[in-house]
Amino acid sequence: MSNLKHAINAAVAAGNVVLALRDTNFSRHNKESNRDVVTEADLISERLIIDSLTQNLLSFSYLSEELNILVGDQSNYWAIDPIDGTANFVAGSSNFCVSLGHVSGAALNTGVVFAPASNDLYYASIEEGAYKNQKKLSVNSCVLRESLITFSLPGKPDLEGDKCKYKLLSELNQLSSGIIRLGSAALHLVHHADGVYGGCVGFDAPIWDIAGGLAICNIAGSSYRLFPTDNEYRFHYVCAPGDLLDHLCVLMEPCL
Amino acid sequence: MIKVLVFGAGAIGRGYVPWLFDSNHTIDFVDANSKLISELKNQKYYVSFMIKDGAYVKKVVEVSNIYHIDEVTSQVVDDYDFVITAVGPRQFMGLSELFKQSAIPVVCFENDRNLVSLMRSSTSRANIFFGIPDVISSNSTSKELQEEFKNSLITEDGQTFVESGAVQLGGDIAYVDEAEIAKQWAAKLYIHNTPHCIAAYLGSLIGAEFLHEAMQHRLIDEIVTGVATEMAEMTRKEYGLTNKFSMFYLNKEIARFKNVLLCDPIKRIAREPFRKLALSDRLIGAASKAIVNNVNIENTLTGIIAAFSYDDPSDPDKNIKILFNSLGREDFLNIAIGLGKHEVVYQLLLKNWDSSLKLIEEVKHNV
Repeated sequence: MSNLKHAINAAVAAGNVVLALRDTNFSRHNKESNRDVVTEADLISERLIIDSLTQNLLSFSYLSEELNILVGDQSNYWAIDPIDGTANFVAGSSNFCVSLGHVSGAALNTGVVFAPASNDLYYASIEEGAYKNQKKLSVNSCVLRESLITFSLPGKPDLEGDKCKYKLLSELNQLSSGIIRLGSAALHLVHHADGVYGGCVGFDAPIWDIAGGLAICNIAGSSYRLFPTDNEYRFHYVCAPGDLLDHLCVLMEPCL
Repeated sequence: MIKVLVFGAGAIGRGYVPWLFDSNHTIDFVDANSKLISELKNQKYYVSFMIKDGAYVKKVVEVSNIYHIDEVTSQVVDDYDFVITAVGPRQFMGLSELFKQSAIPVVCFENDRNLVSLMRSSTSRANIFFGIPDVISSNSTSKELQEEFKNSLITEDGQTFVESGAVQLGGDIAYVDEAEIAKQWAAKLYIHNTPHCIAAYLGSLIGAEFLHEAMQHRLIDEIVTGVATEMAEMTRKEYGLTNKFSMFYLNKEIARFKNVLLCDPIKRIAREPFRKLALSDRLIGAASKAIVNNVNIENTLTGIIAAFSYDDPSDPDKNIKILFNSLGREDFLNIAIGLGKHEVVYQLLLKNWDSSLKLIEEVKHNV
């Protein structure tokens, strides 16, 4: 429980600071596109999380969004997103969170996602199970036509690749109960773990966006597949339970 | 002959309910515990002990039919004259689909009164009645008794109050009007439930297995009696209970908690701490009502903080320990309990936190 305990502590402390900064005059600038933004709050949150985990964990390796460099052990590290959904944060929307996921080899064994505006804390470890605040999370099987599907696009524009993704988005919109785009891959995933959305599809997502959410989904009983990109820390991904996972993989295939 | 189907073959359903009826009634059971069902089917009977005048009286209950919940259809239910439910609130509303399809009258024990109203409206039925078994029953017995009588249980000799509409059920039950039900429910909910679970949370801190062991600890006895006194005052002010009735009830409850013959397991009483800590339930809810009525609740606040630190890896709410150990006090109250910082109970808990922890440490170290 020790890793999970410290990750919860760090995520909540950082999330509270981020929330307090929302109503201040924080600085911001764009990164790879208009919707890929970094603010002063991202940097402060990142520092808080790294300092907290450095202080509390015996061995702490990490890959964090704003530093964008893996510090320590490549096969056993924390993927940290100090604010997932920064564009929402800047716009004053509540759809932003802090996300931490522990990557151990090919496995994601611990995840914490904290959405400070709603006080929703999602946390999971293989030993303890997956939870949202008090509630134990358990994902049930579902079919595409009765499911809301989340769809995440990369921050960096890709004109050729985007055509295929928009075609897939249109197709999924027809075949499912609807497409959801909250502007935060981590929130997509934890809402799936909470039974709100049937499945999640995303492209070219950095590991810090999805590691925490995927760990929580997986421990709650859902499944995921990661598809490699030309960057070793970015993945196309799909997350859904049982047959729906296979169904979504087939639909995604032309875009992979 | 009145045929009764009891949902929940636990402490109340199997331990106490058979004592309510005579040879004019037959009782069958429904449960979700496959192991228990299989054992009772093989045994064909079990023993329920009732505590009378400081000694056990033995009742052998024949098990003619015991169903797994998954086997029970409306056709099965329709073969009975009455249904009694003695299941937890988390299981209770799961029965609504079944009750929608049947017209057999239902008496609900061991549930929140609001849930019974909800069951009535969700099934569009009027013949679902609320009942209060004013009794503590244990779903187990001592090791020695278990060796001789497998799956035996122990119950007190209590009194049962049921809404008067269910009078056709008969048995040793007081069928009473709305005012009496409201009075009994307020007493049970707060003068019984609140100190009862607090005694269990404090008892778990010293590794007690049964409630009476916890109550043998001087400090626990003091805190629990203090909680019962605070709740008696609250029920007088909030619900208009008389001083005589509230004090009679308080003394009766404290004597029950200390009853060495009852063997009431701490784990059963402390089970699902998040449910008990819900904002309108017996801990935070009781404290909020007491605050509004200007009752000093020092002991209740200590009991609530003891509940926060409950640690049972086999409990459905075992994650309370993760949150308690991971979060700061304010975040714990906010995220884990759902209390807003402007609520008085939130502020009082923070104010009393250190002194309560100190007292809890004293409890632990003075075993």
